[in-house]
Amino acid sequence: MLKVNNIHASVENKEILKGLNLEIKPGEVHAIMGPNGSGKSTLSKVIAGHPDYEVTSGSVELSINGKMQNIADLEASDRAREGVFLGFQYPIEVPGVTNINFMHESFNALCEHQGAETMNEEDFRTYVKSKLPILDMHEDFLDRAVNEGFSGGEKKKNEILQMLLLNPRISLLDETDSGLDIDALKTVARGVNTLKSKFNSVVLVTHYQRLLDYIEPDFVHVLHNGKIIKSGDKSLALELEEKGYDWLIGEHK
Amino acid sequence: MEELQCYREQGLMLAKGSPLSAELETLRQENSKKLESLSIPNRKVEDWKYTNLKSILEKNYLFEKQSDLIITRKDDPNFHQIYFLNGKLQPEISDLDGIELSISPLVDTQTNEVNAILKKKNYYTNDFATVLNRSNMATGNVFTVSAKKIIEKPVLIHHYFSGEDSQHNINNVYIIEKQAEVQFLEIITGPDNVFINMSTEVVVKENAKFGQHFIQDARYGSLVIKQINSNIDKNAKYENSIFHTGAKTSRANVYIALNDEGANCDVHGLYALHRDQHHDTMSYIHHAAPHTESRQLYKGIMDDESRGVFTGRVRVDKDSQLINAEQLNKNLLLTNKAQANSRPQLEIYADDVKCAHGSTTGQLSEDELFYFETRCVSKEKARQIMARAFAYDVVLKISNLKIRDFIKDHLITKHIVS
Repeated sequence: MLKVNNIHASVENKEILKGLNLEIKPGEVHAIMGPNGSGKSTLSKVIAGHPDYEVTSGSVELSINGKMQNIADLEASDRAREGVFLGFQYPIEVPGVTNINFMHESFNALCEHQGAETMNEEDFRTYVKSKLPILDMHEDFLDRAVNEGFSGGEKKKNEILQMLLLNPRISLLDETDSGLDIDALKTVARGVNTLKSKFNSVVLVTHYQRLLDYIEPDFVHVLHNGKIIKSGDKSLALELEEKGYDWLIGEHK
Repeated sequence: MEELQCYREQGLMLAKGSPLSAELETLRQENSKKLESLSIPNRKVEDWKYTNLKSILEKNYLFEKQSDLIITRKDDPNFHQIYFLNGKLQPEISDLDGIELSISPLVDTQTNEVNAILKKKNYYTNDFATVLNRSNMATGNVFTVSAKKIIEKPVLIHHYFSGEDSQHNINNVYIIEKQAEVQFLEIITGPDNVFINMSTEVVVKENAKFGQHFIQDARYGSLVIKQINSNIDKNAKYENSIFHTGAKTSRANVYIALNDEGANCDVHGLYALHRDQHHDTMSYIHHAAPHTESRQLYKGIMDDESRGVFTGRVRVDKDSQLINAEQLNKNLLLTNKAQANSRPQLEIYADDVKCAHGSTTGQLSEDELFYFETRCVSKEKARQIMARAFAYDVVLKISNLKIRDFIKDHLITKHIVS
């Protein structure tokens, strides 16, 4: 599904990722953990195609029409249309654009790319409304400006709502759990679990093991100084919760 | 001054053929004399600091006496439609029956009231545009809505101008009598590159409501100066907006006087510019009485190498307590070569007032664009969506929905939004 090969990436000439390898197969859930500044957020932005992040060597391959292809030259919007979704740590506020319009534009852009028929406003609203109960969201959200005046929890739910609408093949969720109370965390996890299938993969970038109680990962990776220094199963997350990162970093040195 | 000789002489010639009353002829002559001592606006004139008309007016725009332009009427069931060509009413294609709006040429309507309106001093009395206008005072119309008349359907006024390199000084007067209500949408347009200097004198009397919106869509080589001088009486409401999409160089001089308690105004504007277009709005809101309110939102979208300028002055007189004034100017620069200048100026002499003002200028942020992109929307489309949201903010200030829709369609046609 997605293969990151020995990738080096910089932002403003500062190298953040220093030879990172990662392979994600359909249906898998991966958790990426690591201390602040280890490169976790950078990894998800590089995969999604943020223009400020420059890939200096290595490649990111995505299976497109059944073939693995290097997506380094694809615009972020093209990657998104091929099924890469990035859930933002800090979702952007877009004043003047209503949430429903934003999602409608997004949904129809995907339909067009897939050669499917676009949906009119009324049908789209009905479709979105069918997803709202999963996230305990009220219809009012649809007519407010995108993320404007939303609480932290509401913003994260809104990200997951968009994910459900676009049904991406690979979802990169950047610290979706940070700042959430336990009820909101459970709701967000329910949203992610609704999407999960043997065709879809999820990458959870997180500081906290707590999220992994609700979304069970197949693999846990520890990122430090731009590289994965240890991979394991979900028990690794529990170990990290107990012992912190220092023992691993020390071991790695 | 020598440089304005051509504009003076033409005014004299024109006046010879037009029957101005002694009173207005005196006013015209005073202004013609004043014009002698004025220089063409340039950066040394404080209110015109960013807009230099010298090279443009050296062109010697001439008066067009006759025009053979044939205007085709486009039916629109949402509006009463009135057509003007070079300031002259076109009755054959205008809806003049069944509308309680009187329109008559200025030269035939020199009543004491009209004369007093034209002579009334305001902030712009000695401004170049006003002086030029008053010294060429023959063309224009007086619009009157009688007391208590309520015109339900909005009125769409087309101001066509034709004649390549011609100049048009228009003096229009609007009198909205007590408790009357009417909504106008006026479009300045035409097939040729012209110089339009259009003054709009407005009186909204006690408890009346007047909505007056403009689309300035002159041909791309044109120079347009639009003046609004409005006097708002007790408990009266005036709503004004100007959408500048046309002309190479355009200027708006806006003056609103809130003269009695309860007078209030909503005054908004959008300038959406591309190529090397230049726009300059100078707004002056005068709170001359207590318990008056003003709200202003001016927005600029500058593409390519265009430049937008906004100067907004709010004056609150010493005895004008408990007023509420809001002013906001927001500029969106779509390229690195586009420019915006913004000058809020508050002059407050009362001590118990609410005045808010703000100004922002920025580009679309990379983060916002990236957010759209991760949602399958291309960068180009994201730009369009954000520019639309930015522009519609001003459209949504208009209370009449039919006028709103018309302006939205205009912005789409002009590719300001899509």
